[in-house]
Amino acid sequence: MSAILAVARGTFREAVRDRVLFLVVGFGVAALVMSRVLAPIALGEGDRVTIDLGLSTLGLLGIVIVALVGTGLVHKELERRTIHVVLSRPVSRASYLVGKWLGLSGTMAVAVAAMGVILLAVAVWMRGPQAVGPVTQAVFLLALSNMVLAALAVLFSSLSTPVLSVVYTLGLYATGFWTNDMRDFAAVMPGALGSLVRGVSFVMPNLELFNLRPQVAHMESAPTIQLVLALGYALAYAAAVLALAVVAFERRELK
Amino acid sequence: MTDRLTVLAMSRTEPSVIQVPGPRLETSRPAVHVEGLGKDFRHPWTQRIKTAVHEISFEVPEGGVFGLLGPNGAGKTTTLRMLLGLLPPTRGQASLLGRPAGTPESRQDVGFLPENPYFYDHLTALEFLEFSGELAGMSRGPARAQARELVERVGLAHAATTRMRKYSKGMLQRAGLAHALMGRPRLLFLDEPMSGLDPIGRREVVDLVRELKAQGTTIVFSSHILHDVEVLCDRVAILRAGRMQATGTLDTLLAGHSAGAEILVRSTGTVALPPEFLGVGIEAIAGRTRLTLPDARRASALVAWLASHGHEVISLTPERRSLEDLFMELFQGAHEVGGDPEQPRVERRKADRRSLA
Amino acid sequence: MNLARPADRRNLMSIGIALATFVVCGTLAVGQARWAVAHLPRPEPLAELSYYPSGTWLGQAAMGDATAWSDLLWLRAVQYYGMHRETDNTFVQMGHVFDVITTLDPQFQNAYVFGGTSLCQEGHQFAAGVRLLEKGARNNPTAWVYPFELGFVHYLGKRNLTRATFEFAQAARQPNSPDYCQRFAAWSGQRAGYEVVSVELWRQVAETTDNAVLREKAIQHMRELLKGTVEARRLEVWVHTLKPLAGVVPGANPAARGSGS
Repeated sequence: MSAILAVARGTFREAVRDRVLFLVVGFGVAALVMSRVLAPIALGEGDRVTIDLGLSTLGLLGIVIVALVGTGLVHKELERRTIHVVLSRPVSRASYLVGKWLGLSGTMAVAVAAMGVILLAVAVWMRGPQAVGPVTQAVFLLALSNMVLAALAVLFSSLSTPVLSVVYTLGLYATGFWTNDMRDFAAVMPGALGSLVRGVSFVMPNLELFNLRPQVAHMESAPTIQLVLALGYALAYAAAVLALAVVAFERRELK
Repeated sequence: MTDRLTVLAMSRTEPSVIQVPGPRLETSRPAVHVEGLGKDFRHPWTQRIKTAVHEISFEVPEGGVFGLLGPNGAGKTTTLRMLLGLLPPTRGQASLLGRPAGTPESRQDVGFLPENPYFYDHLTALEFLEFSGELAGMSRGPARAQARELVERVGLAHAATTRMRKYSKGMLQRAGLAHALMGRPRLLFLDEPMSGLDPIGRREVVDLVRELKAQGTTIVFSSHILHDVEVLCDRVAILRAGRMQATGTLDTLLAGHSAGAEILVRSTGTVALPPEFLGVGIEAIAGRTRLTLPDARRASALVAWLASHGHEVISLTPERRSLEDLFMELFQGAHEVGGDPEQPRVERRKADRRSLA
Repeated sequence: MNLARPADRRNLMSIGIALATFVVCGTLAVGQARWAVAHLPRPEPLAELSYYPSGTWLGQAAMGDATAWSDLLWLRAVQYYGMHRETDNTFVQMGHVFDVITTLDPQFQNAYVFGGTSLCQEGHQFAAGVRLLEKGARNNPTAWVYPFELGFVHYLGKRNLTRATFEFAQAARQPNSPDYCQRFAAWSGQRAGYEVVSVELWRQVAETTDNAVLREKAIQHMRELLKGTVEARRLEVWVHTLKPLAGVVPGANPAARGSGS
C-alpha cells in the first residue's frame, strides 16, 4: 500500500509542478469569468448560462488534463526509463499502475475542486443558498467521471504512444455521452447488430450518469441513489479498466 | 604488455607490506544464483528472433564484489534487467537472496543503479530519495532521515534541495548511487557506476564499494572498464555476445601462466648476478636497481643471494597477468580491445520457437 | 512463459487476478449502468438546447460544422419525439429545436417536413408547424414538397380548402413535382367551390397523364363540374382530341360515345 501511495504522491507532485496544469486551471477560471459576459445576450437566463457553462468548463478541464498529463503518464516513464527506478524496488506493476491512476485522479480532483469552489461561490452569489446542493453534487459527479477518464488514460498510456492515447481517450469521452442514444438505435436495429450495438453501449463509459447539468440548470438536486450509483459505477469501471491495464502491462518488456 | 598489479599503491596505511588476498568465506546460500538464464528478443514486425543472452550460469556468494564484465552488447545489462524483473527471461531461472528473481519480493533488500540513470526532473534529490525509500517499504520519517544521510555520503549535500533537472551527469550518477543505497540493501547491482564521474568521484565510488563490502553487502558490478573491475572485484564473469566466456575468482582466472616478479634493490654499485639467475632483467632506475624475474618461483632464492651479497632489498612484487591480458586472449580476433565481433545472428522461424523455451 | 519458473507463475497469477478483477468489476459496472438506465430518470435529450437562444448563435459557435451539428441535433430531436410520443404526447421543445436544426441547415428537408407535420398533428401546435414549413418554402423556393405539405396540413388540420388549393397548385408549378400535386390541387379546388380553377386543373391532369384510368377520372370530374353548362358540349369535343392511351377504360360516358367529333 505504501508503494501505491508513494507512486500516487510522486505522480501528483509531478503534475502540480508542471506549469501546464496551472495554465489549464487559469484558463478555466477565465472562461468562468467570461461566461458572465454572455449574460446580457441570454435573454434573462444569464445566471443559468453562467452556471451551466461553468460546469461545462469544469468537464472540459478534466478531459484537457487527461489529454495533456494523463495520456503520457506511463509512456513517458517508459521512454525515459525512470520506470526502472520504481520497478527495481519491491513494487508490483499492478501497484505502479494503481498508484499512477490515484495520482492522476487526485490531480484532477484538486483542479476540479479549485474551480468548483469558485463556481460555487459565483452560483451562491447569483442564486442564493439553494445553489449549494446542486452545484456541489455536480462537481462531485464530475470528479467521479474524471476518475473514469484517468483510468482510461492510464490504460492507453501503458499500451500506446501519447498521441494515440489522446485520440482513444477523446474518442471514448465523446461516445460516453452517446450511450443512451446508442441503446435507442440498437432497439430499432435488426437482431444481432442491435445486440452488438447495445453491448458496445454498455462497454463505453456511461458519462451521462455523471452529468447533472440539466438538474443544476433548474437548481434541482440529484436523488441520493444517483450519487451512490455514480460512485459505485465510477469505482467499478475504473477498477475494470485498470485490471485490463495490468493484464497488458504485466509481461511488458522494459528495455 | 604486462601490467603490474601493485598492491602497494592501493594501500595508504601500510607502505611496504605485500598483501596477499586471503581466502573468501562463502556462505551456503549464494546472494545471486543464475542457472541457464537466457533472453531472446522477437522483432514485432519481422518476427525474427535475436538472442541477447544465451544460457548463462553463475553464482555470486554473499558478501563479495562480483564483476560482470564484457564489451558493449555482451548482455550485461540484459542479464541485470532479467534478474530485477524488468525483462522476463526466455529460459532458465535465477534467485536473489534465496528468492526467485522477477517477483517483487525478490527485490526486497536489493538496490539498483541503472546505467546512465534518468530520474524525475521535477524532484529534488532529497524528495527523490524519500520516494525511493518509500518504494523500498520505509515509512516517511526514516526515509527522510536516511535520505539526508545518503545525500551527505555521496557528496550531494550542497544540491540536495535543487531540482534534478539542473544536475550534471556526475551529480545524477551520485544521486543514483544514493537511490540504490536507500533501504540499506543487502544486495546491490551497480551498472557502470563510474560513468560520468571525474577521478575524484570515481575514487569515492571505489571507497564506497569497499566500505559496503566491509559491511557485508554483496555487490554485483557491471562494467566494461577493466581497471574498475580489477580494482574492486573478487570474482568476475566475462560475457561476450550473450555467452559466458569465463567465470571465477580473479586469482584463478589470472593464474595459470608462469608469473614473474620484480625486486627493487637499493643501488650500492653494479649488481652482478651469478649464472643460475640467467634471464633476470636488470635495470637502473633513479638510484635503485630493478630486477625482473620471468619466474616468480626463483624470487626467494634471488632475494637470499642479494641479501647475502650486501644488497638491500627494498621490495618484492609478484607480477601476474592482468585482466586486460585475459580479455585480449578471450576476445582474440576482435578488432579492438573492448570490441566484439558480432555473433552470427541466429534467425529462427516461428515454428522453431518452441525449441528455445 | 515457463511455469517452472516462480516469477512466471507469479506473473500468471497476477494476470489471472487482473482478469478476474476485470470480469467482476466490469460486470458490476455494466449491471449498475443497466440499473441506472432502467430506474433513473432519463436525461432530457434536448436539455442542453434549452438555453441556446437561436440556431444562429449555435451556428456561429459551430465554427464551420453547422450541418454536422444539425445532424446531431436531428438525432436527439427524433429521440425527443419518440420519448414524448410514448409518454405524455407533449412536445414543448419541438418547435424550438426544429427551428434550430433548420437554421443550422436550411436545406434539411426532413426536418422541415417531419417537424412541421408533427407539430401540426401530434403536437397540436398548428401555427408553429405552418411557420416551419413556410420557412422551408422560403429557404427552398423551387422545392415542391413544402407547399405540398402546407396544403396537406391546411386541408387535414383546418379544412382550409382555399389555402390547400393554393398550396397544392403552387407545388404543382414547381419543377419535378409529381403528378398528384395537380390532382390534389384540382380536387381540393373542386371541394372548395373553385369550379373554374378546378376544371382547368383537371384538364391539365387529363392532358398530361399517361394513365388511362386517371384520365377518365379527370374527365369525369370535369363532366360533373360542367354539367348543364354550355361548356359541357365543348368538353366532349375536346375529349376526342386527346391522344388515345393504352388500357381499357371502364364506365365511359355514353353521351360522349354518341356525339360526333
